[in-house]
Amino acid sequence: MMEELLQEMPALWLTIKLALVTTMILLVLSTPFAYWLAHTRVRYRPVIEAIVALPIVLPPTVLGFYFLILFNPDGLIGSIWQTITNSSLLFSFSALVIVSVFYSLPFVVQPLQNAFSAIGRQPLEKAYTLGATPVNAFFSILLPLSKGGYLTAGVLGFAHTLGEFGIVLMVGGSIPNETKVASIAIYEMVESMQYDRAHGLSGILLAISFFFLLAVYFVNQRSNKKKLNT
Amino acid sequence: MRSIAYLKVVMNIYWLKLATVALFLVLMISIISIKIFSAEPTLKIAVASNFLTTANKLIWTYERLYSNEVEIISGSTGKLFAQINSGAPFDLFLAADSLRPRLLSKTDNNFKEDPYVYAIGRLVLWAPGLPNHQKNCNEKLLDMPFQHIALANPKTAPFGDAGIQTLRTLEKLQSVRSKLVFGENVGQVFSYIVTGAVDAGFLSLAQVQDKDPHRDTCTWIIPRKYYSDLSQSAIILQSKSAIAQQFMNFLQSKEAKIMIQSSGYLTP
Repeated sequence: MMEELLQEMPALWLTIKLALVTTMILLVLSTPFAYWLAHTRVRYRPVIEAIVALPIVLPPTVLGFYFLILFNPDGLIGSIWQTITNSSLLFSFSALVIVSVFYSLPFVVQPLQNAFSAIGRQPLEKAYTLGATPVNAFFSILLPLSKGGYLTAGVLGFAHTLGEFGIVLMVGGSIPNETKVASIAIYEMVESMQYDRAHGLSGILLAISFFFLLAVYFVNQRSNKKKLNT
Repeated sequence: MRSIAYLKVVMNIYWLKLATVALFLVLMISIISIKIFSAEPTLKIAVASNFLTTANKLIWTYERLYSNEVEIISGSTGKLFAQINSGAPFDLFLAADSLRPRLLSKTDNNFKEDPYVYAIGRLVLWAPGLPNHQKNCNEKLLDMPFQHIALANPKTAPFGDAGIQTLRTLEKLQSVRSKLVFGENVGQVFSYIVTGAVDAGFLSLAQVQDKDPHRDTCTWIIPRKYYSDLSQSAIILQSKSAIAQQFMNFLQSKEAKIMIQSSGYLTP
């Protein structure tokens, strides 16, 4: 049994690595972006918000198709990548990270934006008048106040990347240890009639996803109770 | 403004609201029932994606000869097989291999007929970036400084498996392994090549022939001794269906065989 599970480790580890890296990048990038979105008064804000929400609506195949064209060695992004790194962007782990960042963007930006607009501008402005640096103000004011938003954003970003399939199928190339994530591996197992292995890996993913979400809802419930008690 | 106020009054009348809802329901039901009841008894054929273009040509002729409607469901052989095993309502299965139809005929008593080999695929290595009159359009292609060579997943796609066998026979697997990129099926390998994502790829001759009928681009038709078998079998899934049998007979006719051959396959 252990041996059978061990042979699925590369795909599983790759999936978790992809989800972790993507979530990290998204949390860092989305913080200033979501803060700006929450407080800006520019008239084109709905346009930006609509663009951010696009991955929720668009079929993964549309994104995959565009990325395939952008990433190929003659494509807009692919050619720049080629000259800088001297390697191909398509079919690499980096390509999956870029794709996943776009794919999971709304799931991280929106909870943060909600959290930031609930806090309002005042706390940060007060901190500035008291002489806090931006970094200081972020860690001592904004982060503690929007803890719940960060938790939701992190979990949704992670979980959504974990469940990625269509785009990876189109731009990944199914290379072991590089782009063959668990969802792709399961798909191949089903197609090649290895139902036992498909059961094993699917079960693991199911368990991970469930306990991950369970932990979040527990935390949410407890913080809600706290709010009610105070 | 007056007209809007007037509309509001009218809309408040109860029966008018009810009529609107009823009209909407009737419309919905009629749309749905058109879909359900007007459908002719059509033949549902599951076709492996590598044979799709040829199947379309065959079916075009078949529909005109027998005036039966045909519906095509295409996908990789592995996926279609899994769907059939789960009770997908297909009448015929044109697979890209002979293994899965044979498995179906063995496991289920509904499939009494033996599978029929309707085509034998021909593996090519296609590098459209190079002209065909080059001397290198043969196994030397494998020594070219390509960045990526695409291959259908050998576990799920017969053409991918044949590609790996070729590389193994020529003892090139080690040297090109780092360049290999796997498509879900030969259709994806094709799109990888056409979009320029890879320099070359292992495909079915039929796909290349379709895109480049005059063979202006570098196409190495790989000798059959380098891989074991690319025979593709068809099997009737609903043995009671007379139309399915009729299509099977058509598939074995001389006319169909000529069409299959001209698309880049061999026939038995």
